[in-house]
Amino acid sequence: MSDATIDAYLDRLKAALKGCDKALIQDALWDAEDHLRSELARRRFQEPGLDQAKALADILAAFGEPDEVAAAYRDRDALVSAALAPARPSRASEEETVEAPTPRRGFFGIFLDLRAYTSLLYLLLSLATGIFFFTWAVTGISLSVGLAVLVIGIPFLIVFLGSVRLLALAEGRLVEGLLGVRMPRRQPPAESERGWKARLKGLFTDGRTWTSLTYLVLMLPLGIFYFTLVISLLSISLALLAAPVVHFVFHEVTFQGWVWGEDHTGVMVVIAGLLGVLAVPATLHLARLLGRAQGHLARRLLVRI
Amino acid sequence: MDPTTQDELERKFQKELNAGTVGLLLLAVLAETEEPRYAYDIAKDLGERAPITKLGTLYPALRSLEGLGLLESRVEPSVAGPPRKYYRLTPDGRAALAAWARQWKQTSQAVNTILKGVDHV
Repeated sequence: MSDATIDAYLDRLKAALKGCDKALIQDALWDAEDHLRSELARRRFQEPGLDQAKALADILAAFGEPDEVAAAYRDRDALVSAALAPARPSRASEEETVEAPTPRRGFFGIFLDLRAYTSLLYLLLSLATGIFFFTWAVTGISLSVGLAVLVIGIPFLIVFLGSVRLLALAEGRLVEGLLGVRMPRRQPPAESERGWKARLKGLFTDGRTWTSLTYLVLMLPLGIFYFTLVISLLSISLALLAAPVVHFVFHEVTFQGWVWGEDHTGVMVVIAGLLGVLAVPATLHLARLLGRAQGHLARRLLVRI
Repeated sequence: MDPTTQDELERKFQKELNAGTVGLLLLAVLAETEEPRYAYDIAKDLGERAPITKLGTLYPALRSLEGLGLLESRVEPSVAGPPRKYYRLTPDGRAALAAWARQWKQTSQAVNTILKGVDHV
């Protein structure tokens, strides 16, 4: 009975928050559910013969109407964004990024964009995290299937799925920190009040568990792709950039530019250098773009409401 | 005046007052104990000692104080139930508390001084 009331309240809160950032909605629902359940549990503990319906009505009244609470989340969030990015206009399309949209700075402006460097770092790290996630997921899946015939199979599966949720949360922190895409800050509410049965059921029926697992498996191919691409582009562009320095400053032979029987090495080296000047920012732009795409993927698979 | 409009105005005034004071209250409550406290614990405490605001609005306020760098948080597993988010003041938060408390005292003194003249209302 109390579950139905709390769920109905949460549904109304969710409706009131419609249009807000997904991660914000998830956090808000978590806050509300945690508060309502903790408060009900506390009152029940203090007064065992409590009239639950009446107590819950009190608790909800003290917590505030969904509209009012939703408005507080909206206002406060706007306040923080405004304080952190005073002069930047906000655009609806960018509402899911943590920071305000970066103003257009042109092709070379990317050098001033901190997010490009952190995206680059994320892409380089993704091979390591990808290998770890993949190994974890595949080992967990195969052991779960293999052990299913034994008594230990079911508890193993449960622990494994729990670990998937935790890894998804950790990856979410990494994505938010390095890619600037907002992710939930906490685990979705474990329905402690509903007892272990409902909680277990939630672990299996919640689509997020399975999409998170998919994400963990996907991270290996993606990680390999990102790492290879970024490392190749970085080494090519840095080599191009270094060619004139090595040629003119250190007088070392980089390559010989014979065109139609004449030695144009000097010109070719300069052209290589110019290409390098273009290739480095292009790599940074690509890193930013891939980072954004990865952020979208993470939000699709790791945040589901 | 129509009583419902009067109620409405009263609520609106309280809401506007709270918009400024809730942050101060939260910083002060956290400065009181010096210990990190989790969100529900803070909300319960304020609900009992300073019942001026809807408890649901305290959570977004905590978030925004964290976003502004005045609080920092840590998620820790709890013995029973879901993990809890513990908040504590940052040095910036402490500085803000001192400044805001001073401003609050000035404001309340000023308001009280003027209100003295209309005590008969």
